[in-house]
Amino acid sequence: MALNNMIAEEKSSAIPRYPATAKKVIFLHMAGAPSQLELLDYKPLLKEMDGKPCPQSYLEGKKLAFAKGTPDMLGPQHTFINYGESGTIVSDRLPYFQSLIDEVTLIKSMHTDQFNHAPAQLMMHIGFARLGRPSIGYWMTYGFADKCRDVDKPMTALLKDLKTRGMLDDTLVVWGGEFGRTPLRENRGGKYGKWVGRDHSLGAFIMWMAGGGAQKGFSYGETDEVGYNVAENPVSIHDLQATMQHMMGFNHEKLTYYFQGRDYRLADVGGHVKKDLLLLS
Amino acid sequence: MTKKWMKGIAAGSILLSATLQGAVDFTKDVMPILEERCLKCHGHIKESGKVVDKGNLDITKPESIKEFLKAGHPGDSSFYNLVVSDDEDEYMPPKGDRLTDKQKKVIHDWIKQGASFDGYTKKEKGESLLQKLAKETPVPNAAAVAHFEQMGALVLPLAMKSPLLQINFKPLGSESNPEMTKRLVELKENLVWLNLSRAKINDASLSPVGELKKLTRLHLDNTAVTDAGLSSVASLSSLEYLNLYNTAVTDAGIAKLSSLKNLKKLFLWQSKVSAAGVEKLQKALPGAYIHFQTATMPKPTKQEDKNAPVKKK
Repeated sequence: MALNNMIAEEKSSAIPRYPATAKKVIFLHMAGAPSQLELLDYKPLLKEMDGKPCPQSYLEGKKLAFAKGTPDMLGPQHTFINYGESGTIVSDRLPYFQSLIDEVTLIKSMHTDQFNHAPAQLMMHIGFARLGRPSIGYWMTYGFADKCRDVDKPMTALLKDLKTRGMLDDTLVVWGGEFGRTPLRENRGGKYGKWVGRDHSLGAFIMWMAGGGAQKGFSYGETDEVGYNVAENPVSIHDLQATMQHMMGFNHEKLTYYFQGRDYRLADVGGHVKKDLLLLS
Repeated sequence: MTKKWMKGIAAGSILLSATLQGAVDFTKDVMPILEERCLKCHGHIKESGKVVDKGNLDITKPESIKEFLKAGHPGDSSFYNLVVSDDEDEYMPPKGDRLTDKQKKVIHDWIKQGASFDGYTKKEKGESLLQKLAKETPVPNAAAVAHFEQMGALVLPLAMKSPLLQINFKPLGSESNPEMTKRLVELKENLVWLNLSRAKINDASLSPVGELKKLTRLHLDNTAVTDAGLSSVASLSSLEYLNLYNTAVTDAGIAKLSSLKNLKKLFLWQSKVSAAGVEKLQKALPGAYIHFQTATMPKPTKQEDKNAPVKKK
């Protein structure tokens, strides 16, 4: 229903408020939440703590999806190397992505308040952890009357192709999952299983953006010494959504639609545009 | 709004006890506070070129500020009283934190010392190219806009209420033709972004495009444009972005582009240019990013972690 209402009103708001730096958005949603601690958030201290019981200070006030009692800390499982002019530290698990690290903005300080996959994915896409509201893609089409395309290619090839053709300039590529992974090893039901894994983490996760007016070779935000929580410049999902809307030329506070008795926004009553993530024009 | 200001005058002075310490300079001491906390509503220039001056106050103009103060008398100046007021219906700034005591004192002392604007000149550099182009731009010619819309092109203002236009011919697909650019000249005051990517145009189609002196972005990629057509492009002095990928342009053609001093990005992948030709153009346009090859793989700059990672079995 929400969608039908939006399509009906599409024409009324087809003009952006600001000149858009991003005319197209490709959202590479990593459903399942990849581990930032194995990919882009290198923590030497966590390596030293590997196998030791998790200090209580980290567990206080934390709610875990599966882990019980006092699980052990789990060190980085892969090798990290600095890449590019920006010297960004990247894991060897991203052997192709490293080549374009100077094109992207890493947001190391994402956080969320949902720790089960489905509601956390909803939060990322519709700004609420419950069904019944339009997704970020529909907000953009509602505002823009343009069509999104499905692109199913490896992310590095995608970035390279866009860059070579001069399209990365006005195409925003966003990559990330719905939450992060804990610095401690998951002991489901109190026992370590056959596989080494990390539990769901709401406190910190990584996303990146490239093109469409985003900074290049730049990292924003920091996590604590073991990557469990945001230490500096937190970015909420609503902040990310507001920033993406800004890049598309929309004011996230003004782009509303009336549904079930009141006006709604994608980023609800929250969301601040993180101008530090944007290139100066 | 007027009422708000009037109330402010009556609100009296709260920090009169503040003592004077050293001369306060408008540009150095006062302006940074105003830029941070007041500019958004009082003097900000929108992309459309319109100035936001709520309550008729534009903090970038001394004559505007003077309307709200009495030199030497902070207590009689609404410019100061609204900043220190405790009345939430009137105090400024209305949102966010109040000014700090130190900031309030700077404004107080500056007025007390005579509210001099000596040495102040309005900054112009904050203006983007688009803001400059939007100035004194007439409303687009409705007949010309209708002509391109009926043709099937996408004609859109750059932003809400902006007289600047973007035209994208992509929706025409196979119906595009070399003649379709003819009436673009009628929109030369308004057109800043033009997309002719993959359109069935030729070099002659670009002569009307050469008249569009306000163009900042131009897509000519995947077209039959050659060196001859670039003579028209060479006169587009506002151009910042030019896409010529997958065209037959050569070194002789891109040499004509050395006059485009505002050019920031040029795409030449799959064209007929050589590394030597690109290097020559790069010397003429040192600030431009010229892309003509597939991106290469950068090498690691430093080994951060030589040891094998801890692996659990």
